[in-house]
Amino acid sequence: MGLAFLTPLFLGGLLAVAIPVIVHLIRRHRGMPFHFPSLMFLRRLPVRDVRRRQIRDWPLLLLRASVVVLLALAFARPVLQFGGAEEEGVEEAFREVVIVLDRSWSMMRGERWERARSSADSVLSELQAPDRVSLVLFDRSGMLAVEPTLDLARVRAVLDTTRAGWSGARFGSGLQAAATVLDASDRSRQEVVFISDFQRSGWDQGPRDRLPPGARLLPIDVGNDGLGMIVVSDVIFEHSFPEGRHLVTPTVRIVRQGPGPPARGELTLELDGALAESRTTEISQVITSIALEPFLLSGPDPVRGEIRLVPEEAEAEEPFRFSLSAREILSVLLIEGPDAPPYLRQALRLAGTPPIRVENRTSTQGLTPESLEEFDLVLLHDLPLPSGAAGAQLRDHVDSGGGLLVVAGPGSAPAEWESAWDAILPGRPGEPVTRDPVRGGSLTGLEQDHPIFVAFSGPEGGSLGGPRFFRYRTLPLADPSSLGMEGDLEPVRALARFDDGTPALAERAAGSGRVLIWTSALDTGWSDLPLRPVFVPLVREMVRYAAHRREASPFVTVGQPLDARFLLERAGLLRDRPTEEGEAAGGEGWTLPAAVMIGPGGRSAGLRAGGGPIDLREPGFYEIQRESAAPGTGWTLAANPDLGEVDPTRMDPQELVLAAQGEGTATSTEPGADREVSLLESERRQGAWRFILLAVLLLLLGEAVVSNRRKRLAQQG
Amino acid sequence: MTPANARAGGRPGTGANFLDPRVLQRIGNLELVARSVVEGFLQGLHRSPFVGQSLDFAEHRPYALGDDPRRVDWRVYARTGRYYVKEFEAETNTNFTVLLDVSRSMSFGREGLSKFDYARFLAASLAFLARRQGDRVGIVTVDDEIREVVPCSARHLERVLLTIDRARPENPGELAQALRDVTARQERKGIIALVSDLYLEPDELSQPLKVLGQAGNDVLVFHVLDPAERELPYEDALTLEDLETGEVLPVDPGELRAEYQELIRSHIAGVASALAKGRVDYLLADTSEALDQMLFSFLSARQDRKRRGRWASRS
Repeated sequence: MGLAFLTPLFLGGLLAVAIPVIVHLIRRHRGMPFHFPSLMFLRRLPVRDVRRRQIRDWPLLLLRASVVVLLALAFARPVLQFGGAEEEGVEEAFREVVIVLDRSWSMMRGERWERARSSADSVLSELQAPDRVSLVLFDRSGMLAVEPTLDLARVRAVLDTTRAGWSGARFGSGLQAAATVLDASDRSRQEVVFISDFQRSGWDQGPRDRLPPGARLLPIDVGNDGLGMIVVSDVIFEHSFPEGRHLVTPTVRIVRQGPGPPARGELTLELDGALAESRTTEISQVITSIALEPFLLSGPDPVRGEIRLVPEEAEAEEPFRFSLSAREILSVLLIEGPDAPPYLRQALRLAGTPPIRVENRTSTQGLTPESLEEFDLVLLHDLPLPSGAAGAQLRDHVDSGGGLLVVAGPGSAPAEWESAWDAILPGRPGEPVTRDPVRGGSLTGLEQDHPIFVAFSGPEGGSLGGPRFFRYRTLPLADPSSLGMEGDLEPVRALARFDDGTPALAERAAGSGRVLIWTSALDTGWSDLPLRPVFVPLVREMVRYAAHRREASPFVTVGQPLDARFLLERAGLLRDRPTEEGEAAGGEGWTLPAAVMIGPGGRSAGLRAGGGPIDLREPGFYEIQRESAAPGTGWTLAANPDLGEVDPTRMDPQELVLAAQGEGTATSTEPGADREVSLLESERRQGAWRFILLAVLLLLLGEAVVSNRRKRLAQQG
Repeated sequence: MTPANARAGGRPGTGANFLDPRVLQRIGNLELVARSVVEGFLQGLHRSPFVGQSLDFAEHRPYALGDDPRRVDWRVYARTGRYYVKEFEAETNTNFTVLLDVSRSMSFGREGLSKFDYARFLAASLAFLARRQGDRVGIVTVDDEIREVVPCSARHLERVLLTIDRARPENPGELAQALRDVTARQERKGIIALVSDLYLEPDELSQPLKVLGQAGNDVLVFHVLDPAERELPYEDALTLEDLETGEVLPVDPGELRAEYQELIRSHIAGVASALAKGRVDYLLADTSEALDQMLFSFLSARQDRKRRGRWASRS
């Protein structure tokens, strides 16, 4: 055991020990001379330079010098250092090694996985018998595959049976899993061997993505192989509804990485197993977008599609799979005046998920249950709510699960709305409020966690505080207690407010449906919102939420946690309310009994609404159906490998080291190259500097006492 | 014996209680101090310590060349056939002058009582004693020159005491020169009591005093020293500042003490020897000793010495 210092530069402060010596001598010479009647006899004595030769106040000098020495030592942060296991025989001196292995999709490329395994095996070979090792496998999530053990053969056995997966990588998951192991360890020497291809897309540091203080991260980079890649990275589906037909136009985005001349490849589209289109294309750019021929989507059954790119001189990647169904379309009945500005219409018709089919009407007259049934949402733009039969039809539509979004602009005339609407509205808008014509008002009080505003909560989500609102209507919210709705959970609430507190957006649950009121206009007459980038996403989020529709993507990503309830809902196997059938089956009452999900290899697993998130482990088509149903009759879910993995941009492993390690931890890129104990950990365990500072405090007190005493004696003399 | 136990226990063999100088220091009235000192020891002294020409017969001595023939005692000559002259006790016709050193070195004092305080008490006591015997009293304060002069007079006791009271040790001292100035200014012989710490070479001191003695003066020297300047009792290394010159000198008393004490002893012995040769009475006045005790001892010894001197000269 030896002594080491975390910040040895502070040991230079030991030179300051000369200060009290000098001060001691100087002060004694210069300070407070003693009066004496005459020096005539002393001058006759031999001259002796007592200033440099004699220090009489040894206790005081030692006290002061000790203070300086201890301060220097404390700032240098001394720690006990264990020289090695054989020296001390202390278990804490041996290493706690965590091998963190990236098994994301990109690790399947080339020989990366073999190199990673070989590296892990080398690490195991370098361990000494008392060293403890554990194995963490990670992609999007981290998993402790082998708990801390001295049995290296066990770790090797797990490595032999592990393969890279199809999920994306998130380095933080591996770090957190490793940190969990290290936190529970009693060993002071902690190392994390991080084996990965270090794709930049895997690193999005979170606050918890750090190792415990003192733990060292030793990266092993297996991705530095310069492999090129040509892969379909994304497909955008544009929906159009010409002449009542539902056409889908896929646009394929191809990413090409790596050197070399332009590559050629065959791009094919298969629908339900049949070849729909095939074309040879030249890929010269890093990103190439190719629009395929539109195909017709009809009927309630989903269409399974595969887009495959086969380069001429490169390895074919996994096909891009999707599943589309007409049921995924969100139908909106937009009722607005004939002279209404186009902002709202255009926002609804832009491509996105879910695709929105918009039908326009210019009046609320003539609404019938049949005409409303096909729409998920009625959007009343700057028109009065209908009265009479039409109004009753619309209220019934809402009560049965439809959505109603009311834009209470200048033409909405809320004072004229019949009182029957008060039963389902969050409030009746009042007279317009006029704000400063230059500064206007702004949105401030947002329910950040509300589904509408979640998309805007991130730094890249756009600012809803930017738009200026010059006019809007007041909206006294309905009092739930007066409506006998105490039992409901917030049936009426303001989701957003202007800066003067006036509700901008309010919702109310009405029956099985929802009613939302936007108290300003969605044109440029009362605000500049339509001119802002946040306009389209805000409109779409409001529509989607009001229509009770959760986002349904044509595909999901391997490793992406999926809500079983969401899958069952999309498969039509979930009721809006508990059913006797479900309760009788011992379930939660919301699902039909015995729903299963059949994976690409034919493996099936039970699916329950309250069963927790589903983690798909491989790409392919998954079918969700009743257990008793015939194969191919269920709803299809397409799963693709994590497309984030197609971004080959790499990061410097040292960046991860610096980010993950605590301050003061020694860095090294050579795993096991040296066996120094983590100094920070030792410091944390011993905290010697705290005791040293305490000693300094005591010494200073002692110094004050001694110094004052001597001063008093001197004054008496 | 320390001042404290001297004050408490008195002087063995005499039954008298002596006054602690620090107690005297607390007495604001200098005359009262002098009275307290003098009246205490006079009870045991019985005769005037100052002997001179006065009306009271003192003794006979053989006629010597230069003696006034009128002083020959013819009745003794008639009985013995030898010429003797009469000597008388001094009474009122003697000038008693205190030469008080007021140089800065006199301000030194390690235990609350400075040498100057002690010297003031001593000077006041001597003046009070002299005046009580009917002598004319005066004072001369000196440092590097004569600072203040109160001529001898039978009515000057208060002025003398006032002068002593006002004196401050503020200037550097040059005692030899001051003594020479005093000698030059003296008009009438008398008794001169020098109170000083005598920081000068013995020869420098003895020379002017010898002149004073030769002028018919009876010279007494009180060498006032603090114990600290005789012993250099400091333990730690320190810097000393000369009160006279302001010079500073870092010293290690532990190493120098023995040599310093030896030098001081040599100096005291040298002064005493030099003054003895000039027939000057010398007393080392340690400020830690009781003032009345010191005076009693000194004056008693002086009486005896005078008596022995007369008998010796008579035989």
